[in-house]
Amino acid sequence: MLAATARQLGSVAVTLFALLALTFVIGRMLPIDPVIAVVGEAASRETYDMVRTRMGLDQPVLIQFGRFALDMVQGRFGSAIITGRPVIDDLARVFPPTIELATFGMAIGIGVGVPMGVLAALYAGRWIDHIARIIGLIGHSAPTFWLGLMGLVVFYAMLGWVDGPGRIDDAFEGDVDPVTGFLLIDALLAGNGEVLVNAWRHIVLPASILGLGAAATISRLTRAFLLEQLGQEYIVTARAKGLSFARVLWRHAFANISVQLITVIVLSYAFLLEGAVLTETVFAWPGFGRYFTNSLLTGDMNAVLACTLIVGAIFVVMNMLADLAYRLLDPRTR
Amino acid sequence: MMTRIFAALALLWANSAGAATPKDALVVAANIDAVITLDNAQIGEIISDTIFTNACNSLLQVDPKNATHLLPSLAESWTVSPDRLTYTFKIRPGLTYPSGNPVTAEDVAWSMKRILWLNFGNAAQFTAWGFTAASAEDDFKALDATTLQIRMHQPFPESLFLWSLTGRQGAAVDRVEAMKHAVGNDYGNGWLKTNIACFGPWKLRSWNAGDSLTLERRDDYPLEKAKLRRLIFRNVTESTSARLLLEKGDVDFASGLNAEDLKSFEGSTTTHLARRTLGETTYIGFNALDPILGKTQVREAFRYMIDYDALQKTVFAQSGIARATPVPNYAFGALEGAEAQPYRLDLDRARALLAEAGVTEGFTREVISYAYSPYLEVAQHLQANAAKLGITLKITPLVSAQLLGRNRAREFDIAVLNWGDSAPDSDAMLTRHATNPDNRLEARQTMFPAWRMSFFDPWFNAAVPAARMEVDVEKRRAMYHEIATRFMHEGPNAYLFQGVANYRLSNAVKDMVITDSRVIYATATK
Amino acid sequence: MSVVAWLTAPEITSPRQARAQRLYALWRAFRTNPMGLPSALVILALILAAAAAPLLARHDPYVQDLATRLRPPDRLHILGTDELGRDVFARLVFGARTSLAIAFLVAAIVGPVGLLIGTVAGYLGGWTDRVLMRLVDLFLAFPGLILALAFIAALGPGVDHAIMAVSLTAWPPIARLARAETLTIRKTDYIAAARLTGASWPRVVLRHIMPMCLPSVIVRLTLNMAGIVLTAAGLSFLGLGARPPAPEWGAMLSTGRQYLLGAWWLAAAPGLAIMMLSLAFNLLGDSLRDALDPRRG
Repeated sequence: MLAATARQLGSVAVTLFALLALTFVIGRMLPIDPVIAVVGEAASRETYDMVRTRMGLDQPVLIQFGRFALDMVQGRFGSAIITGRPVIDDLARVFPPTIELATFGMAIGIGVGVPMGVLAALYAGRWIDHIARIIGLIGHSAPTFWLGLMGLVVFYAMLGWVDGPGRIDDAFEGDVDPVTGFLLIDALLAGNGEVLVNAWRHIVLPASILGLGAAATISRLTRAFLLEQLGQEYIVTARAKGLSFARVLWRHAFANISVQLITVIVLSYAFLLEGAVLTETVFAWPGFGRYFTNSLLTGDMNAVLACTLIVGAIFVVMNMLADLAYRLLDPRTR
Repeated sequence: MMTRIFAALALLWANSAGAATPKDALVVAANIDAVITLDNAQIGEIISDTIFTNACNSLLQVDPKNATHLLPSLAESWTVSPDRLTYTFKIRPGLTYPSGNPVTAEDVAWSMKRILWLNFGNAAQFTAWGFTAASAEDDFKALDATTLQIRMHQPFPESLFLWSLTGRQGAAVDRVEAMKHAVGNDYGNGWLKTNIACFGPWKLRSWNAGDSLTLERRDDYPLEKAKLRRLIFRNVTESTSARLLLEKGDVDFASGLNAEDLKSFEGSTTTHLARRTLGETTYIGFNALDPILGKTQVREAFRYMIDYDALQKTVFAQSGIARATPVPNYAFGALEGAEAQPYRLDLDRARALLAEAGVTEGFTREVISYAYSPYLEVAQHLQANAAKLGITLKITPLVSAQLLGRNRAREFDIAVLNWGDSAPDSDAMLTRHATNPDNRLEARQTMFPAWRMSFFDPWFNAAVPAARMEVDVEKRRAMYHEIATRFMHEGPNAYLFQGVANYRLSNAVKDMVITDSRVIYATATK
Repeated sequence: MSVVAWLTAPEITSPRQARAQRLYALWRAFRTNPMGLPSALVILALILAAAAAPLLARHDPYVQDLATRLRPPDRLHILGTDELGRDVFARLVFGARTSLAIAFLVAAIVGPVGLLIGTVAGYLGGWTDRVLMRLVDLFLAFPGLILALAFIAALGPGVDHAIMAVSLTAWPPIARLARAETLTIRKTDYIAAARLTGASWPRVVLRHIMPMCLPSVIVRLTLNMAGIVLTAAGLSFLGLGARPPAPEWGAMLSTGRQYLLGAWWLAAAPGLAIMMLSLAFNLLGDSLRDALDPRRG
């Protein structure tokens, strides 16, 4: 067990290192001169050369990579062009909104996905199963950015059920002190009902659309896991012993798949971060995804590389956590 | 604690109807993506200028009722020596910055010198008058705490120079505060990129790049205070979003609405329209260093590849006036009528012009453009018509920072651009667009579109300053007509439309000042 | 011996017969799946439509007419016109070419590359396997869209770069699958026999292992096509894919966004098209997988 965990940690370290190398390579492929990006176009030849030396661009590639890796590991990502501030500060600002959105989306994904998967498994081959499958397929096949646009037209413009793009109306901006960084929780803690309502009306639509994809994955896998369990002998035995079906389902079958489900949920959560890139663009959500696309479109490579690296690292860590959860919780591997 | 949480939850379930903007704030939908810096030594985009000039008073201000009449602002009075070489300004006493530091004549002098010393593109606002970084110490002097003296190198018409001091270059930057944050020789530029430290009715409350920028009223502002507590610029890059937000009452003021969205507001009972002609032009720039595009006849041919009538009726229906010159129609010396727009779609004429230039075979060039309306439409319109003459144009849509970056670095073939300068005199636009002080790449004269296009013509370099110095009004007008007409045909650009701003305002907003040169938010009430 | 008998004979006499039998079994299972044939037909129809675009569209997708811009759907323009008066239906049909070309080109790159890396790693094992699989893990650990976006940021926008960027993110699952298949195949007598004849390892991999992995790789590719279509459309939507005036669904959607309220058809039509194509690939992949592995639901 310990040895396995150590081996896994080792492999995570190797992956993270490779991630650094990949990011470095992407940075080097750039057609933009990193020196000009720092000194500006009006700089003299001397300033240019001085900065070039200071940035270590006259050194061999391996040494450059070493310096790059060292900087990245310590969070020295440099300054972003668009905001003029250190990228690390920007990241600290844009991550909470994304985490809030993704968490909300995940809650919807679980709340819809798990029951739908259970129902689909229980009624496998019947109409409920088909409907669940169709919803799942649409969740997988529809472009989220398009669903977002259509959602805005229908629920915001036409029906007025939700509020429009953005995280909160500007009027309330800064009305609640950021304690946790999650607006809904902060508003609740401050007891500011107006802000809570406003934030809620803003987050519901993007979170639902983001959660749809997760719901599709979760329901599909819940169904598969549960079907596998239901076909096992112990279920048949338990039923033969006279236990009620509901009891068998919840106490045995569901308990057995919960570990697999947790793994799936952790992994889908990571993928929600990816989904956030397009969703946030459509909903003008001031989070990581929009920061990333804005940096990308501006050619702000410091920010792009930092974002790529951070998301990669989050993915690696999430993968590791999923593995770990599996190993710690699964009775068969314990 | 729990009670508060429950109260909040109760409200959530009650779910009140959509929020309106607050009573004491004005929410403006604007594309603030283009705001790269808030330092007046560096600002180049229209929206940044709008924010800065609303937040900061300049030495003088334009009379909202009469664009050619100047009013006191930072300066309570001023005198000009008979030889027009010495200007003396009396700074209003007792003014303070948000930091609490007093506003002195020394600060104003320093703010101006700073622009020259930093030598960003905006230095051109002073070098155009003959000031240099080296002479700055002697040119801008504080005689005492409230007296500022400016020494001229040439006797320019005084209205011209005074008018220039109503712009962002005439502001008072908080010298003590800025120097506290100075790094190396940057005179606080690094800090002022994201901060505003000047004297004016508003102070910067927050700026989340790409998201929103909030100004807050200064309650200790000794002149006429802003009526509303906050002025919020919300980043809205798309017309549709602006329209939706305004329809839903989420913003009070929307600019940049496209023709279709403007039309949708016709008959609206909750909003009203405010229009003003802008000192702004949408144009197509050609890189004059290009072996083909560098030819005068080729550029003239491109001017005949545009269907001005069709664009005027559709894409620019509300938002533009077809004019083939950069000088706005309200400026002194501006061309009028057919003289200002002699072109029409004429592909045969274009073909003949190309042949005249010796370009008989098709060629391929890249067009860079903003990724949204009307620029992308203009680019595709030109592309389709050029294709009929065997010219292949490849369009690369870019975000503004990237587009301007490539234009300023001269790394482009053809660019769809805009340029704004609201000065009510032909001099302003023609100086920037037709003259080029130094065409070398390393000269980096980026505030001169002429330099960006690598356009250099000694005739214009001599004619524009000569017109500026001409004292006889009618003679001067005639000189501008000649320059503008020649420039229209020989210059590096095809000018398409002078901008008309269509603002859609919530009916709750009153008393805003919207003139040809400025939008002033401080007077607005709700 | 009839063909069907040959395809179902319990005694297999040649590798060719083995392969043919697998395919035949696959086809029979596939045919019974209610979603299989219809989804295949949808894709086929889209391919045909793309090929016959000039015949289907009554208008040139590039010809502008500002006078008729943003017209709602009517009899002349069944899906309306766009911001430059171009026929949306024509652009949609021609756009199918771009979208399908991207999907199939990516598949054509990713399939062979993934297959090669997976089979070589699986067959050789040892260090080769470890290094190659570490590489696969690295790319798998990465959100595809973000990696693709970062690469495009470095390479610059364009369809060719979009194809490269998407390929870069789509090969690892194929490689992993091919490796897993190889691990089971390499133990079979059939491979041992091939090895005994003195065949070199490249020959064994190329002639014997790769063909055996092919069916499952194709199924996997089909399933992944949906994701490829969506990623490519997303890149164009962000303005990093196709350039104007080329008709491409993601780019059309991006333009439609500017006129969302006044001209809904501009955004609705390409969005539905993307969804249809991606849905068809998903269903086809599902059916193929079910056919290949009837145990999984």
